[in-house]
Amino acid sequence: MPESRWTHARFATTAWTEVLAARGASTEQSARAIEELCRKYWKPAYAYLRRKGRSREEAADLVQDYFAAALEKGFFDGAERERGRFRTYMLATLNRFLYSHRPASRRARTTPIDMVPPDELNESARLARDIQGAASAEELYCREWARALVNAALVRLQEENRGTRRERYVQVFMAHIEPAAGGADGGPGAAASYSEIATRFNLSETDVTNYLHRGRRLYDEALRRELRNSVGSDREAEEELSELRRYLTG
Amino acid sequence: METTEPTPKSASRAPASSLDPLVLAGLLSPSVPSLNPADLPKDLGERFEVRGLLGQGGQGVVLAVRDRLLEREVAAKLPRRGGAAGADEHLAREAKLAAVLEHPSILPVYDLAEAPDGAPLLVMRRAPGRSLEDVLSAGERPRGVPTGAGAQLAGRSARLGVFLQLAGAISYAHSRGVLHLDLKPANVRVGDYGEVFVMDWGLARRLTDAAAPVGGTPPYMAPELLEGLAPDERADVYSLGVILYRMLAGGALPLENDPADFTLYRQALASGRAVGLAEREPSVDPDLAAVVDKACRFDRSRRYRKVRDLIADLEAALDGRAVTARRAAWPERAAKWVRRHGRALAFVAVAAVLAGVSLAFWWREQVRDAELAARTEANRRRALSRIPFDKGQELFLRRPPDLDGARKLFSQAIADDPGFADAWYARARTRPLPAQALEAIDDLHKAAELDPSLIMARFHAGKIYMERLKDTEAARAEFAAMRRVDAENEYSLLGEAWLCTLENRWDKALELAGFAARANPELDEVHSLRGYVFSAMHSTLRDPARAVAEYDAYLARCPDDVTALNNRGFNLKQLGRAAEAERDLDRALGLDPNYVYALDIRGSVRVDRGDLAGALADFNRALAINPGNSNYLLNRGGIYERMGRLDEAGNDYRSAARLAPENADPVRALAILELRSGGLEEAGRLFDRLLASGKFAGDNHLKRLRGYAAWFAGDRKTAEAAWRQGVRERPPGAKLYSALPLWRLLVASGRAAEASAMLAEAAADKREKPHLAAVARHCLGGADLAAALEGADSAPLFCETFYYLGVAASARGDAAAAAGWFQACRATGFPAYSEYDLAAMELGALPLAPEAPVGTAAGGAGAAEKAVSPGQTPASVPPPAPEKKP
Repeated sequence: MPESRWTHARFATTAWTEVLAARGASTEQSARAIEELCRKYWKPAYAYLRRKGRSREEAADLVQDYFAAALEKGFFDGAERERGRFRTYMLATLNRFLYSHRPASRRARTTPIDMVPPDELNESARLARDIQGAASAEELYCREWARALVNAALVRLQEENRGTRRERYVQVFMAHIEPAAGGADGGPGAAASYSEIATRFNLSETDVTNYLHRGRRLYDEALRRELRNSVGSDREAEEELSELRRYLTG
Repeated sequence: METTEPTPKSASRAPASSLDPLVLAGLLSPSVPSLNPADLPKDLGERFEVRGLLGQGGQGVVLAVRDRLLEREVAAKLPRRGGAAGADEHLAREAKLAAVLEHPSILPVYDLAEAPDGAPLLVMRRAPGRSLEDVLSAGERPRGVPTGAGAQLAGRSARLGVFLQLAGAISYAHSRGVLHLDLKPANVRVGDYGEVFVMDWGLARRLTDAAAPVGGTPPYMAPELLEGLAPDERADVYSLGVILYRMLAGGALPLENDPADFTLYRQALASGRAVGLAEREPSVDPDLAAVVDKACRFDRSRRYRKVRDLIADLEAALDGRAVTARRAAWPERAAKWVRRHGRALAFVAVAAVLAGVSLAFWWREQVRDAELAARTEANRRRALSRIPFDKGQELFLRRPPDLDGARKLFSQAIADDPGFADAWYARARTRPLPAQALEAIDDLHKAAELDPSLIMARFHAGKIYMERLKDTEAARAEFAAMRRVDAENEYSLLGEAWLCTLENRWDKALELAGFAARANPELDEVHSLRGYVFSAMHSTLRDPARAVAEYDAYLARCPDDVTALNNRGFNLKQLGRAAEAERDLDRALGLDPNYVYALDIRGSVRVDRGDLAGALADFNRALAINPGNSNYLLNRGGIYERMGRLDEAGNDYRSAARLAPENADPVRALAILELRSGGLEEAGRLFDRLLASGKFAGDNHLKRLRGYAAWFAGDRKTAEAAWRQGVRERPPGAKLYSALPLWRLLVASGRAAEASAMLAEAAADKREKPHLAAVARHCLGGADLAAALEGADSAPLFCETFYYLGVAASARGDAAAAAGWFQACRATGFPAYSEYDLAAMELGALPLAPEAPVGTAAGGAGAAEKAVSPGQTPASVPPPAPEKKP
């Protein structure tokens, strides 16, 4: 019967440029690779379009159209020749698409898949605020991209460690970074304190410190892996991280 | 209006949408880009005082540290926080491997300690001198390398002293089965006197270790590693070749552009343009250049197979001897020959070679083009297949796993690249057992054939042979193959442990399991093995409680393992936890309806519970699968008997006895069945046979029943003999069971005085049961009825008391009273006791009616009290309560 941990599972991350560089890869496989990236990073594109002045419905339609076109017309096929940061590449192709796109109001899709499930295109208050307050569309795009990246890393962190003894570290870590539900002004509440976490998980505070260390280290690894999917090299990963960080704090 | 952020489809939470930007920024700062010496901690725990920073790399930081305990200066390597994935495991692996190597040019590892925050800490000797990278970048040539005009001449090996020391260290490491896999000038240190140290075994692995992740640094990393092939010594040969190239070419690399990352490196390799050393550095001796080029070949089949071959060729080049690296072009070869063998022969040689030369060059080009095409094609195939393979992994690792989906993806990966051993292995692991046991074996064999270092393939094949196909020889062969490849890997240890169980070496099996668990605490298999050691019937370490604990741990992680469920069920039954046992067995049979062991055990559990119909169904199915199993027949016979289907019961007992003539249990069951169904003579015969020799020779219960068989058949002589034997041989406190019927016999034969004397003597023993003693006193006339009933206070005791009062009445000749007592005995509803059946026989009702509906008291106590081995239920005999009738 299957083991619960496959001992030599390499948690492989295929840089997206490698995927496309495999010349002759079937459309199906490229499509799946692109699909996955789009599923994770459609929000920044949407936010960008909104900041550019489109309404919610328009932005939603455009995002769908963009991804459909990206697949159909192979926007990313030329990527292997360049240094690969999917984030910058996507923005470039998105702009090009906007320039040449003539929207029709109700048009049958030629790809069978909606990149973004329609029910997910709800704009939260937080996002609406950020759209209003952003200095530029590019800046907003990058900030949303950072969020999406962290999201993906957190999801991966939980998936990878589910059912293992490391799950506890992950849970403590999640409890530590998540804000409590709702602060006074409708914004996020304060994060849980060590003693609150200790009580919640029935641990000593020293344990909480240790678990946090380990959870943090696990998160770092998950982030690295997630990041590696959207860039072409380790060096680019470093650069990407510092740029995204600057957008958040600068 | 506020709308809630949509949650992603997976069950994991993703709250990043609502996180504060500063928190987000913090989450995007996984590492300190460069460690400022001012930021260093002062200590690493009590023992180590931090002195300074020695270096930092992708995987770790190396600090200069003072060991306060041993009072010496050492180096300590820690994983970088947020550094490359798996840094902790890297470090532990590095420590283990480096500790195995002892060589003057390999930096010794002292210890693997723990930093205060739990990070591993690799303590090692401080490396002296400078790194070779620094030396090469500074443009120097390290001492000993021929430069300029000196390079023309056949140099002495001492001039390449640095490289040869390095190569010697690596050759030693290979002889110990360890590959370095990250050789580069930054990992080589050169001391002031030319001494050389190789460091940083962080990516090293054992030759046979399939589990280690593969990495490297692009210009030095062997091309086959990018294709996903398992590395061998030739990967290190490549790295050494590139280092040597740089040493001779003034620091330049073989590839045209400096590939800083894997993507570009891969492209450079695919385009196949490498600059031969001779082109770059014409002053280098051509044979030497050829050696270097051969070491740097992209196609590993054309490289030196072993480092020592490289060393030998290098020395040959330096000594002016011929090298294997290439056939020198005809003018040169002639020149060398002339140097050695004199001018006279030179012209002859030259002319002979001329003819074949041009053809040779053309053919070599063709081969090279074909190789290039083949390599590109192989790259492409492997890259393709990795996509479904990676997705399949994800599905496999999910909780619960999607095995069917994963299997389809792995099949796709195999179709894309049939040489991808891991994909075959992965597919085998998704196959449901036992339905696809043979297919799984095929897949595993294929994986092992493609990659012999994948010992897990052998391991799982061995398990399947052992558990599913019952082929211990084949299992042995698989486990032995594992050991041959790598005796120290934790899976090999487990395989050897399983082998020990096949050979009944239980302590050794546990010991090996302990080693494996220590090597890898996450190894679930260890629990399943231990569980088996504590469960097996013939195990010297049998312990149901510990077995259950081990299986609990195992099943928590692998809830669908049929064997484990079955074994835990079996042990739970032993411990009397019948309901839990049945749950496990139901589950096991739900997963595999034909798992015959579980049918057997569950059948017994159902009998205990009183579900005779269900038990019968189980044993019927078990016998359909295994028609010749005498134990199952015995059990089914018992069920038939309890259901009153006596003919069928008899048939089963006879078949069982025939199939297993060395086993006396079916005969015993048959004897008692005969007794109960009125075949008194046959019963007598069978009892005699059983009592004559073998397992039941001293069975007192059988002796007593022998007496009754004779008595009811009218054979007083035999009955008397049997009961006298019983009284003589039964332990004190149990003699009355034989004494009472004997008393009646003697009275009925007119030997009243003898009867009373015998009974009085037997009853006098204080150890006799009070209620029986009271009946005995009544028989002897010394107590009235009320007194006789005094000792009995519960249904079992009443059952016995009424019966023997009936015996007493029949001895007095009062048939009506006797019948009343016997009926009263029947009314207690206690079929577990032989008196219950005997009363019926006394009443002349033969054959006996089917079992009365089971009430809780009667049925419960009637269940098997002694521990039952799978395959044996004494359901056919109402067993005596252990404390009463030994």
